[in-house]
Amino acid sequence: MGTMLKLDKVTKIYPGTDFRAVDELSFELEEGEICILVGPSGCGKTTAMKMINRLHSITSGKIYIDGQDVSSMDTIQLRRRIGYVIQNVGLFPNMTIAENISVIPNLLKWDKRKINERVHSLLEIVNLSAEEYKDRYPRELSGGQQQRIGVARGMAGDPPIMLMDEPFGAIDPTNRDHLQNEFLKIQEKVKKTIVFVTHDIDEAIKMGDKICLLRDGKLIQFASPEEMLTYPKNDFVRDFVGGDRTIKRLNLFSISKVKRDDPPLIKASAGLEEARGTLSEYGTDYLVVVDENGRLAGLAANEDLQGKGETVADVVQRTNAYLDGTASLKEALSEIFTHDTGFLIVVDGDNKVSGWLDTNDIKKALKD
Amino acid sequence: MKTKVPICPACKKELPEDATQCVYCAAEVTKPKFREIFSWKVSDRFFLFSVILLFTTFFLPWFPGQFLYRDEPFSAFQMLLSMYDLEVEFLESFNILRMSQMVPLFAIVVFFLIYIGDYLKKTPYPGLFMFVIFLIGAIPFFFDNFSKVNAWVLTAALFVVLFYYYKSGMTKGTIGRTSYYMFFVFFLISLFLYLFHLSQGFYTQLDAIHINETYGFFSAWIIVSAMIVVAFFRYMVSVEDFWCLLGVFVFSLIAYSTVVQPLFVSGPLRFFADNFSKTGIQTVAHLKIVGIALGIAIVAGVPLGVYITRHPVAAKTVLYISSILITIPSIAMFGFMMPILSSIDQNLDVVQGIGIGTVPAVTALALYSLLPIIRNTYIALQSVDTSMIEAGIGMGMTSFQLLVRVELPLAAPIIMAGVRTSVVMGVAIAALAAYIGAGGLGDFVVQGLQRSTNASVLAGAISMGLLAIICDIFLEKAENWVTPTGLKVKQAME
Ligand SMILES: Nc1ncnc2c1ncn2[C@@H]1O[C@H](COP(=O)(O)OP(=O)(O)O)[C@@H](O)[C@H]1O
Ligand SMILES: [Mg+2]
Repeated sequence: MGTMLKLDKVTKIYPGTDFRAVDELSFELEEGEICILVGPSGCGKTTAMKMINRLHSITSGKIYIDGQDVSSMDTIQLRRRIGYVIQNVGLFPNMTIAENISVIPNLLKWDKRKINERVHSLLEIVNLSAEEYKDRYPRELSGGQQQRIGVARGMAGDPPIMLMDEPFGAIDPTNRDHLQNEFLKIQEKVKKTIVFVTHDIDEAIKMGDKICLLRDGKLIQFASPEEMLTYPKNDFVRDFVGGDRTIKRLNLFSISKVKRDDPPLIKASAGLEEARGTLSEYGTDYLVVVDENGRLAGLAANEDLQGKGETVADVVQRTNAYLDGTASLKEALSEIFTHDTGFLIVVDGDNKVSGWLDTNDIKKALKD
Repeated sequence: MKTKVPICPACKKELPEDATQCVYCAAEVTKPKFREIFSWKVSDRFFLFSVILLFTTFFLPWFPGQFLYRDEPFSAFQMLLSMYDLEVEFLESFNILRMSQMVPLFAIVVFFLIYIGDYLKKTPYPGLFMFVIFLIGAIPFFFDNFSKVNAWVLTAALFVVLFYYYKSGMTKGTIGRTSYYMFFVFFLISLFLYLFHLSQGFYTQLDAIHINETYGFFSAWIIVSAMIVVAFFRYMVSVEDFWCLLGVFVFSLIAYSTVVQPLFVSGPLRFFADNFSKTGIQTVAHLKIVGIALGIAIVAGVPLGVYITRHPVAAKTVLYISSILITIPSIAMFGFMMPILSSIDQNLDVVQGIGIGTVPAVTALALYSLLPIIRNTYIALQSVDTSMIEAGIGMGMTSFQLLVRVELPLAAPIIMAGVRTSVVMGVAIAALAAYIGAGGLGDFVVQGLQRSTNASVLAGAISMGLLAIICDIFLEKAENWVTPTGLKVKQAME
């Protein structure tokens, strides 16, 4: 994994103005990383991004893609090698979805069969049925669908780098969340190097491998989301990420990293006598009941175990106080507070119990 | 529209006349109300009007006929009788003037076709079907005037179309069914007449033109009147309708004698009849002037429009100059062009055999047409969403590729609207080109004014008006054709 994109003291002064829209911006990006340019409106994010594909000229400094200086490349060829997705999508309404996606492959003069295959596989990647959508027109699609086509179009030429300017900016919050998740899944598959512009710090934290925080054209902090939340460089960063940055950090941890591996387990087939013994052994208020295969069956509280019945299966209570290991700590925290068990059971994909955690574990994780 | 047969509002099936409840699905059927008569569509009213017009011209010898014949008045009905009696002398005097009486008739046919087209939307091209029925009456004419093979092919084609319509369910409704039966009747009638005339040696005494006229005329009368009978019974629904019809009848009598007759029978229409071929030639000449001017204006205007979107400084100047051009009075413009350009005509025969002023006229018209085309091109390209342009450039399209693949297709409908404006304006301005000897329909007006023949002036005006309307209708269609499908599809609901 080498350096894919490198900015070296890049500066932009728009002709006719005397301020630096982008001021000596430098950073490096590894192959396959998502870098989020974030900052208040007018801080030069778009300008910085557009210099990469030379929609804006560079006043001074250098930009290298894969070691090559962009100013030495032919602009048209350069742009065809860079995927470009903009906030307003900009699909061409006179072309069908398939034609829209194949714009760049056509410009690159791929042969028909290859283009057709590419269209199909891209539609599959963005989760739209090729048969249903390829011959329809952009106007017939909802905003979210259009946005996905926009992403597919940007990826069509299989570019090593993609530039995305507030691609989810115009979409309502619920759909945006969904599209972000979907986009991360797509990225998992395609592993592009992406420069992504947003003004929304939450989006930046969620999507970025690296966050590049700008103010008045200057780079304030370039760091991973975790680092930025934990060690904000100055007051501006602290303000920008917000007073709730500790809570935001919770987003960055998945439960499976934090959970403890010793939940108070009991088999459903065990006798009540045995269960009471186990309970006092653990010293907890509840036992986690599992079936023969280790799958979660429910909870048994102390007073349940004192009741009538022969085995634990007779007294087990169903429960919702569990989460998948991939969930974030933020979700875990809110789950813990909605149930009065005081802890949360962690399960894996098969609903098998793999651990547990409580608020103390979360506190500990934030401290480290 | 009211129909005699009630249709169930829920299941759309035909019901018995006095049904108050649908026999199929028990939905309630309301009787048409009095008020509905007065909310008829314009085409309905016009149709009724025309029906009555036809009847008056057909049966009343004193009414329009007296204007048609020099010696004694006769009606179309009498004309039919004369033909039937084989008064060859009469038939020989039957010239194109008489065809004038066919005009209201053809108008009715057209409206009838349109009307049925509206009415039976579920069937493809009902108008074509009616036209085919109309042609059936002309089958004997085919055999007289075409080679045997061609006549058989045409006849067979008509039958194929008829069969197709039968198959497609066209013959199901009342009108469809009636028309279908009518076709057989007409066919038999025309066959009978043909055989009858043959046996009388009818054709040997007339030249081909006469046969042409008599047969077209004759079959048309029979067929259309039969249609009208059907139509009458179909639309005579209630007492209210009767009063409505009577009103239209009286109105048509007045209208015919005050407006229709002087205008169409002794006026411009007669002029057209007398100058049949000249009208055609002048129409073509007119279209040529407008067309060539338009071609030049498009070839020059669209690229210029594209250029000025890319050079905003030039845009101001170009739009300014072309708006000034359009304000120059056309007579002045022609007068200005004349001395400069008329000499070219002697060397360059652009429009064959038409006046010395053709080149100046075309040039002037091209200049006039520039503004709408440049301006619309400019506006259309300006209004292409900037995000599309940004996306295109950002993806590595050259600006030419962007223009051809995105901007022009999106701009096409608006550019076409500019062309439409130019053409309609051009047809009108070209009228004045007659003054500098460019020919065209304006000649009728100019000559009419010189010789104070009102008919000629009117004929020129009417024909240019019609030409403008026809061009406009055609270009409206063209506007639709050039609109990319992607802009016509229904917008997704969010
Ligand atoms: N084409 C331009 N000409 C002059 N100034 C511009 C132009 N585009 C942007 N700017 C200025 O540059 C600064 C950065 O703009 P931009 O990169 O669009 O900010 P962001 O995308 O972060 O909101 C702003 O102050 C803006 O006014
Ligand atoms: Mg921006």
